[in-house]
Amino acid sequence: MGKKIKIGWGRRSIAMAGSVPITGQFYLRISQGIYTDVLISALVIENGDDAVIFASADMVSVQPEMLLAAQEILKNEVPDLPVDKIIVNATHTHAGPSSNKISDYPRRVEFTGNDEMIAYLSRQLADAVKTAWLNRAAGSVAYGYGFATTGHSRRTIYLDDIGVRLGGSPGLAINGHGKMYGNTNDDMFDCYEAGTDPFINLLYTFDEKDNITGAVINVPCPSQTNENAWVLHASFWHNVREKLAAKYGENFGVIAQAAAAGDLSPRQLHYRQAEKRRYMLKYPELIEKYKASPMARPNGVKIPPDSPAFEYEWMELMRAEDIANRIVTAFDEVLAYASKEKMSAPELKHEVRTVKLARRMFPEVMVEEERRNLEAFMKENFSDASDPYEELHANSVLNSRRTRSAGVIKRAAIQEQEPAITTVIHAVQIGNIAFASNRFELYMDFMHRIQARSPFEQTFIVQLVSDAYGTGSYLATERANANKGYSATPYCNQVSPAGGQELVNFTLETLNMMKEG
Amino acid sequence: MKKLKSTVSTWAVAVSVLLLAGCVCSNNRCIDSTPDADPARRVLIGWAKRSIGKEGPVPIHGQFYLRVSQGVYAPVIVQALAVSNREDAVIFVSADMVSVTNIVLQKTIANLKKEAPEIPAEKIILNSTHTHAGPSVRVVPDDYPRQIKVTPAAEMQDFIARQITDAVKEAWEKRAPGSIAYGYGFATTGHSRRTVYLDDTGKRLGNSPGQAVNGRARMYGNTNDDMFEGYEAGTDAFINLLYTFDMRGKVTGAIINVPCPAQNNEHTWVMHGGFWNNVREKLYAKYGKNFGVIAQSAAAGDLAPRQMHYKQAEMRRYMLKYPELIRKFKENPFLEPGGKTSSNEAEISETMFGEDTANRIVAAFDEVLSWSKKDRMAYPVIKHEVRTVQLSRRFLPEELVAQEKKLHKTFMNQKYVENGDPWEQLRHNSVLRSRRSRVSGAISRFENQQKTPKLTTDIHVARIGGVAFASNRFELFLDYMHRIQARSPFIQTFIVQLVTDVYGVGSYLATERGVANKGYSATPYCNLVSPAGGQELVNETVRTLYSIAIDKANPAEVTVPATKGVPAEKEWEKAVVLENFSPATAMAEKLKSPTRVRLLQDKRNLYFRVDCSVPDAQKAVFGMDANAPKRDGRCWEVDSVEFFFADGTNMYQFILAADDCLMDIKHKSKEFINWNCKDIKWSTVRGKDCWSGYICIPMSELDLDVNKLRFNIYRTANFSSGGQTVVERSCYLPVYGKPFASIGYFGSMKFAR
Repeated sequence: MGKKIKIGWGRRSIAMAGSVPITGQFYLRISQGIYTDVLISALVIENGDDAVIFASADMVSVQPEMLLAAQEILKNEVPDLPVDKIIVNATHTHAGPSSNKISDYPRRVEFTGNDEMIAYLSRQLADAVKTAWLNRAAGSVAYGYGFATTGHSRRTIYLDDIGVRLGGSPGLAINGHGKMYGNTNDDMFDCYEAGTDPFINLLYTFDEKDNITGAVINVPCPSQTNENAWVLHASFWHNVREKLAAKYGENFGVIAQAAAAGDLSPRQLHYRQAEKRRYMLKYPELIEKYKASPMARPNGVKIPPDSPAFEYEWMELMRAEDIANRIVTAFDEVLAYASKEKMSAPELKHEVRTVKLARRMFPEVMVEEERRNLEAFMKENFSDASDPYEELHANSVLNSRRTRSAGVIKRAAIQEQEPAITTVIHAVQIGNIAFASNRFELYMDFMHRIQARSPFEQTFIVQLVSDAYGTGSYLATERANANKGYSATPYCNQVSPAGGQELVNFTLETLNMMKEG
Repeated sequence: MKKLKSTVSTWAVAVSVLLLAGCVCSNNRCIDSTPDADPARRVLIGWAKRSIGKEGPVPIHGQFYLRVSQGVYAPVIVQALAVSNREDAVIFVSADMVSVTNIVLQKTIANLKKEAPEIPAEKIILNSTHTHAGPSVRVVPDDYPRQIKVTPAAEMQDFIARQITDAVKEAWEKRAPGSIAYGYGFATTGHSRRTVYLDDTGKRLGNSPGQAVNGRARMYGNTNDDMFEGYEAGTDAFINLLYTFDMRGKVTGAIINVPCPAQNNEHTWVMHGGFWNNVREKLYAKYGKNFGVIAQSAAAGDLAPRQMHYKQAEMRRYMLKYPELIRKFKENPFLEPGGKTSSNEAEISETMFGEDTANRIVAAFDEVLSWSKKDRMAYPVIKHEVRTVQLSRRFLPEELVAQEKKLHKTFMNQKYVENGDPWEQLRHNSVLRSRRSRVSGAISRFENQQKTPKLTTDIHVARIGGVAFASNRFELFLDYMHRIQARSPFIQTFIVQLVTDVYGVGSYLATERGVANKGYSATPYCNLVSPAGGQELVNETVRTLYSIAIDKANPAEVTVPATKGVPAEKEWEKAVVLENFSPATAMAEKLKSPTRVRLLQDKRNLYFRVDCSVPDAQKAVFGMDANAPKRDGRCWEVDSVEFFFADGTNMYQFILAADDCLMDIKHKSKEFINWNCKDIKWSTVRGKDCWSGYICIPMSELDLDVNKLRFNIYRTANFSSGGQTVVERSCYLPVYGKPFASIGYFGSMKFAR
């Protein structure tokens, strides 16, 4: 038993008005409005000796600058708040306000600058955390796990080398036996690389009167439905929050965490027609509602409501609704049994460790190829399309390709001197469960390695947690590197599979230390 | 190379004449579609079941040691469902057994031929649920000493065959008009049981002679291991459901298909049906005791009803969630030999897993029923093909067999226990017997593999409306199911494993990665068929699925009649008519948007006339946006017809849409070339619920060898049905789900002189 805990919740909207940049694709989007609210939620659990401050942000990633700026604000305004104990994760919606720096390339579309975005987003993060900290009061927690299908494998494997058969995508991906989002209706389709994981981990919070006040919901799925939208939205987490708010009130807190899901996404890669039929029969009203009020696009362009592009949009929206329904069903099911065992004084420990992970090293032959790729990209001229949005699309894609190739060359140049990258991991114990963070789009296998060897009953893996050193990048497994494909190519991986195993071992070492006291 | 040569000169005049001469959409309908309610296709449905919970010393198989029943803990049954119309039939039978040997099927067929010859016994799809606590029909060898009596195999086989026969007869007799509905949902049932390591565990941890050869993988390996890497293929949470209804719309039963064998509590000495008992109990409570449940395991050779990590969390979950059930189980534990009972922690956990899994299955059952019943079908197409196929065996290498021969000698030198405690004797001797026979089986297969490199087996492929069932006799690894489902032309494809055929039953069918990783279920002992044979099973299944998906493929060779100049209305009567298109993507119940294309040619031009209908034109997407270009706009996004011509070197594509829109494309080496066909003419007119059009293509503009001319025609219909948008893609010659430009599926085109 530990000391009595105090629990506090806070949140802020980050649905910034104006021409907010939206990143997550190779092309840059500029917000055409707010389709659903996008939030930063914060939860503080502390007992006087230690604390954990969870924050989840409806963003594709939270850049280190944003975290550091928020910590600075909090140091000034709430000096007793342990800013190093903030675990801020991006839900990985591809339609949140961006904290990424946007390179300078020819464009006429104007958008909010990075300094202003960082200032705004760090302020919102700081305020959410501050509110949670100031609101903390005696309460209890309960935990459990259940099952909810959220993510599906997005890495399709073929019996032949499709890099040879179908070619690669210079500057984007090198395909082999694996391909991201590959066509499964292919005579040589072999399998999904690592399958999927239907587990959902839940930690509930209660006030002193045993009223439920919120939950940490952890599922192995990035919230990237409607990932091409030009409007701000939070994907399936919005649907989850709406459903829980309807049941438990507007102030109900939700920390939305993606567990390891680098190789998963919220979309099926087979049974697509069955899926469409399912939604058409199950959600006819919602589909009609969307048709009446579709997501806005640049230049006020409206796509025909019966076109395939429009169908793609409503299918993705129904995926979000369907996933949310399963999450909420599991939420209720687990709550029913977990709430029998509320804990007001669980052991609370929080370790923050800086670790070094082996880089993915590039062989010279590959770097040579990238030099050629980069040369070709540098020779390509930026577009001078008459339509500013067309220009933005073309030039941001070209810039992405240049940057990705240049990134490989740059990493290759320093790989001998700096064979490891520096990152921070958080490990938290709350009673018999633990949280373990990483900054990557972590492949699922790494999660299973940690969970299977963890000394705790349940271990919530939290991916895309920012640290002061960086953010993001896929961390692929041994088998994925062998299979290649987007997310397991040199462009995409800063850390090698061996580095991934180091992450596993560092995490377990920390969890074991905490457990042993 | 003979080139096509022509010029166009009189198109405008001719089209004007045609449009004046007669509306292409006479009576404002282009093509009449056949009514759905074909009386021959009215579905008849019958359900029946029989208990197979036999009294006495019933043998229970499923482990290396033999068990003998200490009683019936929960009902074990065979359940039958007959679905038929005047054209075809499917008879599903599921049995709470580890496997149903071919002798039982043969006896059942013989019974039926004698007692009810009108029943198409070859249409029985008999699957075992793979409970490891059902009555066994396998022969128990009597060449080892044992004091425990066991009901003889012949008696067991006769009993089970009788129960199946009676269930099938009753289901067939009870058939009555009804309807079906289908859908899919999500329910976590099976978990991967193949754990993979970063090192070779065969070297580190050793093997199990006569049982398994371990490598990077182990079955049920310890995941709390520093070298644990991942689960080989993960899992699959899909649940496929087909519901049956009576004439009043009341649900009468369901086929429930989940990728999980019912082998929780797989070591018991009492009979039970695994988690299917819990599922049935819950559904009986809701829908009555006569509710029918066909319990099918989808491909799950590498899956099992148990988690391989989070074991402590799992136990806590059950203790908090099911305290009453755990108490009840402890009060009524499993009986064991010698009057002992057992309710240890593993058994509690497995029993609660059964309950937990059943809760998820029933929740998904309710969820899918709530929406799928909106689309009940009384006239589904029923087709059932039974094909005998040959699959490549897994060959055993010489060096492995040399090792097996040594091993066999070792086992033969080990002595049976002659007396002592009868149960201990049974256990010891039956394990030794299993090891001897597994090793000798491998040697015998090796000796025969050159002579009989293929294994003969039957597959059933059945279609009921928009869904299909595809059976196999194996414990099939999950990846094979995904390969079939992803390539199937049907909306849903239920894979049914462990279906008995007259040649045999069972054996794991491992994948390429399974064989590479080794471990139990992917060792030479366990696999009759190789991964290449597995892919042959996939390809044969997909081919058969397409053969039943397409009612009748059109002729692949077309001869285009000759005309003189631009055809007048009357001349179209002698045109070759291309209609009865096939679905191009996943199976629609029936195409709702008929297409008819007529072709003529003179020496210079190819003349096309198209008639395209939709069920309700009010919301159909005829024609593009008013501002869209008439040439080279995005025609494929609206209701359109696409013509492909190729000769193996070049390919041309023409897309015609209403309101005089045309796109023409030249393909070369997978590239699109910016190309406009010179002197091409086209026009379209709209009718009610339809549109029609003409194209005149000057052949001289196509760089094609007329002697190698290949073609296909596609239709993209875009309309509203039941308040929803439907995009229906069809093709003259089936492309089996492949892209339209797949030249391998093109037909040949010749010109009449």
